[in-house]
Amino acid sequence: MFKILEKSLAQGAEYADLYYLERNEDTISFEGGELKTIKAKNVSGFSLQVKKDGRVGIVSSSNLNNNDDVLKMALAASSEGEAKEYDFNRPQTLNTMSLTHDALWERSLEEYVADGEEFVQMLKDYDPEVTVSIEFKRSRQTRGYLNTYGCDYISPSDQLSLGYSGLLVEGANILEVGDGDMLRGNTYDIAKHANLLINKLKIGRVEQSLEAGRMPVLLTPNAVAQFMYAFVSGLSGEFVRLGISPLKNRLGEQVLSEEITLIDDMTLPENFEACPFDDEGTPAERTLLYEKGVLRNYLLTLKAAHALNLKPNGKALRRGMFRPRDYANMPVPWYSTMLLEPGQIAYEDMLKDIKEGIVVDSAIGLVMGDLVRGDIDSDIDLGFKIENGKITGRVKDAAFGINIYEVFKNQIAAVENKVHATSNDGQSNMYFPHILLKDINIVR
Amino acid sequence: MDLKDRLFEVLNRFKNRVDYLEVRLEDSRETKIDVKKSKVDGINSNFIYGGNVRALYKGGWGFTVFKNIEELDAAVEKTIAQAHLVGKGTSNWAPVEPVEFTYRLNFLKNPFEVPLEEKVRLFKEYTTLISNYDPRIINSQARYQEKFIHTIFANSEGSYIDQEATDNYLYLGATAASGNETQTANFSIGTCQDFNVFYGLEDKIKEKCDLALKLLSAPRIKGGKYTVILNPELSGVFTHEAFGHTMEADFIVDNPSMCEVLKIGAVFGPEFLNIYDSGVIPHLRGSFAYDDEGTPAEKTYLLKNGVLVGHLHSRETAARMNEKPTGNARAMSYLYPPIPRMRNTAIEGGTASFEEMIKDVELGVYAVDAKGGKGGENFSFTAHHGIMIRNGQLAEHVKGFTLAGNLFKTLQNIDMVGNDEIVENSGGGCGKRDQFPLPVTDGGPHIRIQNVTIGGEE
Repeated sequence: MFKILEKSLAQGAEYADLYYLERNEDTISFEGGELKTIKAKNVSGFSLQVKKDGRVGIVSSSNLNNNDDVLKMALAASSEGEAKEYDFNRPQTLNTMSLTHDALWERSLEEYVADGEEFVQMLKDYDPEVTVSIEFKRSRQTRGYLNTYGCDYISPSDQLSLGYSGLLVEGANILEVGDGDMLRGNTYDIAKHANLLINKLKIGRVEQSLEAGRMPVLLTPNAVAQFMYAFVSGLSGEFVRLGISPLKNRLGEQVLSEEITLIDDMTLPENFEACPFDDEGTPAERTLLYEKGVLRNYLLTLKAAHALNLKPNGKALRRGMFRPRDYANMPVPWYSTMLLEPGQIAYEDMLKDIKEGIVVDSAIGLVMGDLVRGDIDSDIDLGFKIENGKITGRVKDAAFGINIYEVFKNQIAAVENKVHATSNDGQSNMYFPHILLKDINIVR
Repeated sequence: MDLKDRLFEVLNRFKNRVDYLEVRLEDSRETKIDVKKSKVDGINSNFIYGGNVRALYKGGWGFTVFKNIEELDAAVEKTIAQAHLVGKGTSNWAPVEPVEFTYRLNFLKNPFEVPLEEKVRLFKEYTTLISNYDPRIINSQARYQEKFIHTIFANSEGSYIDQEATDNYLYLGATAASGNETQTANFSIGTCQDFNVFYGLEDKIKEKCDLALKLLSAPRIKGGKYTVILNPELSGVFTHEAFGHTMEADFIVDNPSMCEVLKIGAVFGPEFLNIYDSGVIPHLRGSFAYDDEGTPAEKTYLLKNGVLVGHLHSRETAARMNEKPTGNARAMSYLYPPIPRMRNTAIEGGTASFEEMIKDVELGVYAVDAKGGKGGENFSFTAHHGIMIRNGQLAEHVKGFTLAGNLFKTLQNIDMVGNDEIVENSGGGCGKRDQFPLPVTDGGPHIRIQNVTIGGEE
């Protein structure tokens, strides 16, 4: 791949860089309780950026045989391209990270099939009416970043994702619940996951009524993960740069409650988005975003860092909301692994004093309000009623409208004393506690 | 050997080892242009090139993605092995007449022939217009996509379909701010045949700038239950998100109770309610001649006179539910197998005028345009803004809000369907599983719904 960079310089570019991604993937899917599909993907592609007369042209391709066309087009596009006011990354010594796990590939497809069958059987034993789906996906993703300053980074990473759901239809009552896991190797416990799903179905099929009004809301780690879309929109250096984010000019300010310490960390090797460098070749780092509620950092690309006169912090990822990471996307400020520091109180103690309230595990519409402003209007997809300290059944057709900056500043009653692994997209690992909100208006 | 002979040579050599075998090749290209505040923020072109093999054996599927045609034989061998590992039952596969078909695009003004500098000039001009409109406007954005898609599909039944398609749109947005308040107003416009639709948008842009400014000082709606009139764009989003996704047969077929709830003949709405999904409306982004399994596109009625009359099928779901394939099996690219997806989805125009809908509403809200939505039995979608209805008259503007509810109850609560059906190209696309964004359109007439839950402050 170096050749195309050399050719770029030979043909008049001042600078060139290249991002490369190769993905090998096996997927084993059970649908409707039966093994349905086995898929294999072996795909790769690259994105070339050239700078000429101060402007850049960017062209990507999944065809590794048309380098000349790609280069020609990139040089031509640069005449109209973005004027780059900042410099690109110079070579640096990166932390070494071992992200591969050969044992993942030593397993036969038949062994995943057997695990899937065991999972389905456990659900069928619970209730033969449950429609069960489960998917195992193992992949090796090799990311590379090269530039004409001499950066030459490569990082292969092995991943196993597990995703499953159970669907129960009783009359016109449709209950669909699911969960998953994200691992480096084959270390999942299939029975544990089956039991987790069974428990969700058990509690979800009991329907409870709930009066509208103000009440305590207990967010599960899954729900907190869904709220992250709004958090990161405000923290995005891109929206700060454009002046749209309410967090503009507020570094050092107490924005949220002292209970909230939020960290983004690309350097933790057990996580999917771990990598020694981000998609612009900036070294990975652990970044404190909120420290006891005080805003400490934004998520920054090179462009955002330059515009805001801040040091780049390695948050440029080629992805977007609903867009998986791919070489053809432009780098945007994004999170990799998110962590909230645990609080003081055990989960049971958070629950026990609630006379009447609601647990929110999953909400729909969390990506549709004015996310940058932090406004969330949401219908509770999977919510449970709390009565006298106990969860008693599912609540349907309830909704709320909040602003995260108001609620996470003034309405936090308690943060759990431990964190749980979760994710909002199956791509980024998150470690979040349960969070109890004091008094939220629930409409029905 | 030409490509067609090569594909059929391979298909014929392997077809006896499986129940069904297909190959799909793609050679596409796209360019995205992003302009913010009169400056190019990014131009990004992409060549998309690759293929896949799919095999069905005893009800089990194998699917392999490959990088180039030299890998075809190996990919077919691998796919057949996968299908053999999976298949233990019976293949369900609805018959479709084999066809040989070629489609070439015919533009009025071809976006790919408009020079890059002309596009950049136009989009800079639009964002300059937005930025200079009022000092309270803090951001202006133009986001453009052009895409040329060429697919070749061949299957073991003898079909060979060589289709070109195109998908182009422009999004324009204005963000206004005052104090802590920010509001964005935007619109998008799409085309499959004529770049000229992107010219002459100045009046529409000014209208959106005015709207963003107006919404800065607009109040938020009080949460609760309201009589709601959805404008055509929002009625389209409701139809797509809440109803359309529920009618995609892969969501139904595996669950016997779901098949029972959503069976043909079930009554879901008032008798004046008709809903369709069509792949044959000319020049719409969700239209095409053949889907990605070689089934011809058609207009599929889902609800007729309030009664469920159809589902959205692939060939497999159609066979399993003993219905006819509808031409809804679509794949976003060669990286994915086809699954049941919508095309152009709408409520069919009714008889009511807007004046008739509004005149007896004491307290309600006119919900205008969409920010997005998510479907299923419990749906939720967000109106860009609203205009309160008080005593039969449009009153003050309110900021965007979320409408949520239960699909079945809400369909029954539709009490008026407007006579002003609009289905047109805009931007964006539909997401399902990991396939996003697929070009679709939605629309319809104004509709009135009673008792809609709106999330909001007290």
